[in-house]
Amino acid sequence: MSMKSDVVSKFTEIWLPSTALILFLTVFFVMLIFVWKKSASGFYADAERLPFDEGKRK
Amino acid sequence: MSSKEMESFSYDDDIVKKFAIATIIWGAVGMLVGVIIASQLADWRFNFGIEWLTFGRLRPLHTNAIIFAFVGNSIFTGIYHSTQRLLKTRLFSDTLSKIHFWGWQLIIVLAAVTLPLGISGSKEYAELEWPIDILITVIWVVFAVNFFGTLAKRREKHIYVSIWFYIASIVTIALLHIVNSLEIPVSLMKSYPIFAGVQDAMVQWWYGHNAVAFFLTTPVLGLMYYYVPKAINRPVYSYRLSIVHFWSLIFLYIWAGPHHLLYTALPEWAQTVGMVFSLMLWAPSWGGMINGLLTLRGAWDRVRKEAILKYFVTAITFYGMSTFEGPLLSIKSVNSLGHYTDWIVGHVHGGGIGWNYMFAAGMLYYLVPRLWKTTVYSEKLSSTQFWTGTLGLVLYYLSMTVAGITQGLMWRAIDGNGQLVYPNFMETVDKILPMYWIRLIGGLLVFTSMLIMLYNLFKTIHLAKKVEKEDVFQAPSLDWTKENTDKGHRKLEGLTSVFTVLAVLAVLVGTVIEFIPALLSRDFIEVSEKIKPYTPLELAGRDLYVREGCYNCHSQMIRPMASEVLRYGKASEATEFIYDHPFQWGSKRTGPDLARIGGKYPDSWHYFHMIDPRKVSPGSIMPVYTWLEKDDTEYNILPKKLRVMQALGVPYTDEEVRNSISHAKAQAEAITRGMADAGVSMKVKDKQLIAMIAYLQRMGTDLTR
Repeated sequence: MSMKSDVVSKFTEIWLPSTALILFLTVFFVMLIFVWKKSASGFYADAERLPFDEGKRK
Repeated sequence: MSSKEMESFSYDDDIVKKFAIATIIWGAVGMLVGVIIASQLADWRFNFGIEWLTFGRLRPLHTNAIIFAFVGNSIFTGIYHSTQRLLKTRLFSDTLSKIHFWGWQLIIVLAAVTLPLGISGSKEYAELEWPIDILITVIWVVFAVNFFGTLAKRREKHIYVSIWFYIASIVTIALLHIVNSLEIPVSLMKSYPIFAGVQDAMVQWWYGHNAVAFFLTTPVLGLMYYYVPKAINRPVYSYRLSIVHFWSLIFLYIWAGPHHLLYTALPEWAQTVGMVFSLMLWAPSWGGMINGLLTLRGAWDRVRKEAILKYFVTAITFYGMSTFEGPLLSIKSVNSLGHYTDWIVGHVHGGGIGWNYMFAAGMLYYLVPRLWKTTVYSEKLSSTQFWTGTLGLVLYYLSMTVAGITQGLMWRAIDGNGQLVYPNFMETVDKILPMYWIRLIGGLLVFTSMLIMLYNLFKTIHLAKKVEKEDVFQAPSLDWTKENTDKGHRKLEGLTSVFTVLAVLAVLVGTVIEFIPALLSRDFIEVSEKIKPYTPLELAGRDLYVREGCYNCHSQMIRPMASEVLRYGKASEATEFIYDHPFQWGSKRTGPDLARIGGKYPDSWHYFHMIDPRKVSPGSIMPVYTWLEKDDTEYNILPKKLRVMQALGVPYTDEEVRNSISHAKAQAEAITRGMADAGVSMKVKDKQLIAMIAYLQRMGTDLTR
């Protein structure tokens, strides 16, 4: 029997990758909402300038 | 941010300098080895008949040197430099930094010694043997402790996006390395992996693909988010986009490994999942590329004048090109054409030279003058280096793409009668040889550009005034007692432990879902009774095959395609590899597939072929293996090897283990006697070449016998 028919006939756990995909999409969209919230603007404006603040040279 | 009082501190730039110098030196060495092996493909005589210089042994040295020595040292340079500044604190421990540096250089030296000697586990980009694997683990833990210790004593609450990429890289590389290196030692420099066949292939390419992802890509993306804004002196185009880039990328990347095994005996569903997730990678990869390039908005005129920006723009552009081409090559129909060909070599070097080398060069030109408090020795030389390297890269990439597509089309060409148009593999080799010469010229130009950088930066360092004292900085201490009032992702960005756990989870989802079915593969692989373990002599021959790195040029996997079955015979089946510790499917066909080579030619054909391939295969570009005819087979270690195989589940009986030496000697004598008519002397019966013939003649014969 070929590998393909072996797997198709005996491996039925397709819910595994499907669950992961749904999980990923849920997290992804929740993250989008949080990140693009208007109230976050000031926070990210500060965060993006971090590379330019190395501390005060004494 | 809240402050209590100002604290004084200094940054440990000494360790950054050390890693920067190591990057330049190992980069030149790695590229030199690349040029040597490129010359050997253009003309096999460039190994000068020396066993330590053959392609099969030096190719792993080239890949390891570029990935772990050159890029490895470059990412440690950038991570240690940027992390201190982003967290406003000195590294956790100067001692750990030094152990990390010298330990890593020791690993590189050990690799440079053992790989040419043929001490190899044969897993691509993870060829080093078990004692070095353990050393890598120890040094990586030292690095991780130093890094996370630095995070713990930071003076900046928010963790900048670069640090996220570093965190994901550090924990994922640890996971990849440990799982892929699970092996049982036979001797000080020989081991067998615990996985076999399909499982081993799955684990290896989960590792191999993600070594590219989490060693060559994610840490460099972290560096991109720091050094591109620094070089252009403006923030990243969209910090929000960088967040989406990070989480999408680390979640999706880990799934894509099976695209290296399309049309193989890997389960069909795993191949499809690998392909689909590879295609999904287009989105975050291009999101990151666009974010990097748009950071230069309004400042493109500076790219014309400043070499650093030239390097960064080229690097990000090639990141975009490679991450477009990668998913493209993962589409099964495209992969059927491109896999095993030089197209993949071109793709890899587009990323390796275009993305990694160009980025490292830009970063070094940014860092070295600042670290040594001077200006670069020659701007003109850095510009010359850029154009030399870019020309070399274009020649390399185009020649390999053309060669690869040519190979792919010739291998699959079938005429109106259903026969192969080019049945002789040598016809396809002959056609692409001019491309190998162009590749050599391209490689030489890239190597020359590296030498220019080496000269330019060492002159910069040499002419700099000696810096006696470290600069002192001040920053407010972080008030850890203050409650974190941020919400959602913003809160998470200040919680390193939770952030790290979530990053690990993101990586583990794909890993677990691909691993569970793979680890259970024995449940759905129909084990044929025809499949028998290798005889002791065949096992000895197989170890020689691994030692010589034959997998670098020959695959052992016939895909279920008409052209492949016509050329090589019955398509490979999963059951055929259940005793293969390690698997030897390979990833490139510079020479033909060997999965069903057993019995195709007489023993004497193999004997003369190994001594002088052109004697029986005119036009062959394979090197000579004359030392196999001179060196003795190691019989005494066979019982130990069989015992380890027994422990791994290979069904050798105790009697077979006890009698392994006498059995091997008897088989060697029979093979040698069988070649007497062809003029082969009985004196060679205990030579390694006979063991190699035993293995080659066994390959792929169980099912077809």
